[in-house]
Amino acid sequence: MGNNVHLSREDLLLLQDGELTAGEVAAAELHLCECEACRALKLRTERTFAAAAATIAVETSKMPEAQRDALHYRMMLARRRSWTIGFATAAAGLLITAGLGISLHRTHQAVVPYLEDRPVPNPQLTPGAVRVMALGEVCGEKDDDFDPAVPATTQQVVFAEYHVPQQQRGKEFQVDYLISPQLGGTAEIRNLWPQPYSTMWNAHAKDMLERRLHGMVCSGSMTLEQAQHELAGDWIESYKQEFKTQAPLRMEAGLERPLLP
Amino acid sequence: MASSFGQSRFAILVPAIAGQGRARAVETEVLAMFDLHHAALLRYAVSFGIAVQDGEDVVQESFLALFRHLVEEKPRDNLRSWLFRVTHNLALKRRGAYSREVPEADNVSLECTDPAPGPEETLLFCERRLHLRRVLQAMPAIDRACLQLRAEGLRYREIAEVIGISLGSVAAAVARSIERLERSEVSRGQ
Repeated sequence: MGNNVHLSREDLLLLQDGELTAGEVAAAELHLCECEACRALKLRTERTFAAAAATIAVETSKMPEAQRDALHYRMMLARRRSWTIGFATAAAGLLITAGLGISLHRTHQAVVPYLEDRPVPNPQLTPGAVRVMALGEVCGEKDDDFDPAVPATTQQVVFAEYHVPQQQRGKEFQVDYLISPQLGGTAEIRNLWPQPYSTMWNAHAKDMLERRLHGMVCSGSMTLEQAQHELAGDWIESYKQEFKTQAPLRMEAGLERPLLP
Repeated sequence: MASSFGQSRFAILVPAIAGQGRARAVETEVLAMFDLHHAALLRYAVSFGIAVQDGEDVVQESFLALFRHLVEEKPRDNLRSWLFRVTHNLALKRRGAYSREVPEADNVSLECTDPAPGPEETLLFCERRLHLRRVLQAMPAIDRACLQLRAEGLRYREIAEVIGISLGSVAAAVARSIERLERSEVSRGQ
């Protein structure tokens, strides 16, 4: 980088970023004082970069708040899981210290591909969430199955929580309410789960159970809390008990041929 | 005896309780970093040619990785570069998955915060933005990534760490990108 040799763009960029040695900086600055062509190149480089940077940096996310909330929720979930594991470990340590010798199992569940496993709500991710609802409100309106639409960003968070690949989202799953809104379920992430279309225990079966439970609540043969509990627990088991069957009625009647068990 | 049992019980429980307190503090720190760097990381992820929704997923995973990294008390040197490096790797992985599947057609673009004051300026700005995007997309991946990271304010040394190339290669890539942009501006003006 002698005085007679022109500076390259790389030299100018490294000079600007403070990556040249003291000797190289002195030589480059001396050359710039003497060489109009290099000064022009420096100016052009700076202008072009500034214009590009200004254009690149204006693009922003449409829903940063939703993403922030989702991140916050996922960190809280991770913290609670580690707390459960940490507390179980500490409790086990205490019991061993006391000489009781009782072993505790980890409550954390390994992540398995969602469709390859039995795709049911994960109680750690979807324990269910309800709002206070008077019986008059529950039974006052017709149960028409029209659940309020779940916002697209919330759906994406639910899919991500359950590790549903991007290409399967929306095509093979719908984000569904665990406890239906007609029975007090809310649109919080804790009450949403990806329900597969192609399994035996699909949305049709769950809708049928929800209608049955709604009817039972309104006829007084079941409390609202019991109905919510039936849905938030193992809803498939509840279906089997309510309809005295081992398979969904629509399948037994030959109306459905599921692709997956 | 009772006293020593009490002490050992305390010693067992303290790490679990302290761990919770630390995780809460880390949560706040990660959210503050999210506010600072989310937009830049999303732009970088999307620059790999993945859908915005996938980009958002990648950025979420990067911040969750940061949360785990900090909870485990791993090194805190230059966390911004660390975040870009994780985003770079995850976006590359996601981009790789695109070759095995049909990409979604309904990709939405990022929103543009237009700094121009009037309708004419807005039009010019949008044209320039579209043109730049086309030129960027036609660049080799390394050149594009280097220019994008430089535009996000990373130093060449940091860019070298994020991408995993030498300092000289970063400078050469940015220089090539700028040259290409200049040529495209000249041909656009003719």
